Amino acid sequence: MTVTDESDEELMARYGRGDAAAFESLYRRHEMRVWRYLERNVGNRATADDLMQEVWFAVARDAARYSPSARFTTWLFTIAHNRMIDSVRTNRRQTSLNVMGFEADAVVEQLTASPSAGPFAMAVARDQAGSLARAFESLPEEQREAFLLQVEGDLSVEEIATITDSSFETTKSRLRYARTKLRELLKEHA
Amino acid sequence: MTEVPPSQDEFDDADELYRRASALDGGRPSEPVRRAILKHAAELAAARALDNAGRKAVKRPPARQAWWRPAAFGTLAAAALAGLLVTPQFITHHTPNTTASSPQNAAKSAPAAVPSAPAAPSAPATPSVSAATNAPAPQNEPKEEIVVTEQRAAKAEQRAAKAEQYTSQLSARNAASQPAAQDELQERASADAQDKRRAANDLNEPSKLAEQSKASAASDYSVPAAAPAAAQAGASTAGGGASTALNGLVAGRPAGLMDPAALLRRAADTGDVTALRALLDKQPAIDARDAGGRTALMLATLRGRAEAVEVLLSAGADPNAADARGTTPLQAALAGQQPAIAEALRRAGAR
Repeated sequence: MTVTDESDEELMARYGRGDAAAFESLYRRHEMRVWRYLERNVGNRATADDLMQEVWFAVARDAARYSPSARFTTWLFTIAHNRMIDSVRTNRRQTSLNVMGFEADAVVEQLTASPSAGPFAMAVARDQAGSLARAFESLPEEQREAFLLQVEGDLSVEEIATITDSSFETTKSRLRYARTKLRELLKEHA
Repeated sequence: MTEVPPSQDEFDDADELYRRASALDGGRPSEPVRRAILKHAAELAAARALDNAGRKAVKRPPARQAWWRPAAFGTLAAAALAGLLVTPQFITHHTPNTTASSPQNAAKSAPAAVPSAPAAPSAPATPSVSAATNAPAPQNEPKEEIVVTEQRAAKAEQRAAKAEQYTSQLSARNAASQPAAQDELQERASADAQDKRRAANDLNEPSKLAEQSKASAASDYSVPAAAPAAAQAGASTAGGGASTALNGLVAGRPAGLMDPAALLRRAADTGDVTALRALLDKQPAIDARDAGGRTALMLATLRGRAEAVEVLLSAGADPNAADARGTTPLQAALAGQQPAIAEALRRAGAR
């Protein structure tokens, strides 16, 4: 059995016993999902980096207290949610359409660094990144977070309701409205 | 809320659109953040590894402390096993000793206990433990005889004391019946002292007078000071040591300085039969009395010297010769619980 075949819970147990390689496997497995959740909720890469560090530091610090009875992703996104809420309450949403446009330019630059990327791809990437950012900017915070928890965290409605301290029906409604709006916004740029 | 909730197909469509847009988004954590996270996690992992090693080290002492339990139980078990193996041997050796309560029984049981050595009772050639314990060594027998003789001497002393007490009671009774009894007792006491002084003068040993006086203070029937050690040995044993001393005393003295009657009384008093016979051969006054009116026969009776009594009676001593207090030898023998002597006296006509 290779490291990648092990479940999240087994890797956490190994890391709790002092195996640093297990943590690295976990990190690489969930890095981008947590990052997208944070970055699309706060709308700012610098803040997302800070939150990313806080979340994974907390995971490393509390590994010994992790209970295998709960799914690792549930525990991981609970930590991310709490850190993100604290940050939002402190700074409110720091992004704006202008900021998102500027950062969209950075994304385009990364894409153009690829040798296969041509001028058309650059234009499409710029447009897609901007439309995605704008779509999430237009969503209410609760709908945006519920949607991101389900899509990136692969959490159930019940788990989302528990993390966000909401009822099952409310969470379900938030998810439906978020998807409807995103579909309309993203279809325009599809 | 006027909006109609979307259908499940719309959900799938929205998720697909989101994934496509995310695939075009090249955003990712910065490299410094990634390195910081992995470095911090590695440091915590190292600390945890050390902590776990420390816990294992801490858990070792209880495991080490448990070593004494099997060791202690093993020692106890070995001791118990050794006891079970050794105890029957003690039991088997101890059983014959319990049946042989006396040396005679032990000597009798020795051949049966050691059938391989039938000559063990007479001459134990092999100094084995069983032979030594079952059959007493021959050199121990004289010691036992000495002990028995000493015990007999002690009993004789006790009987003499009782007889003396009895005679005192009888004399007290006689004194009550006679008006001048007190004066007579005083005269007898002074006569006793004169007799002792006379004996010392006869022996011509003034230097021993003081010792004799000391000895007489302890007992009226003490051994003469001329041969105290020999006389005491003769009182405790029937051996020839005392006889030799007394014979030497008799033979070495000039004829004019000897009082055969006094020597006869001393020989009767100490039970020295050899000296008694030697003195009787010189035909002394066999019924001569000392200051207390006691003949040689009375002294032998008071001391429980049965053989001396027999010798004196066979030599013609008067069995009814009472002392100054009126006590006859038969009364003294009965008072001293000497049935053999009393029987001998009766056979000789004592009353």
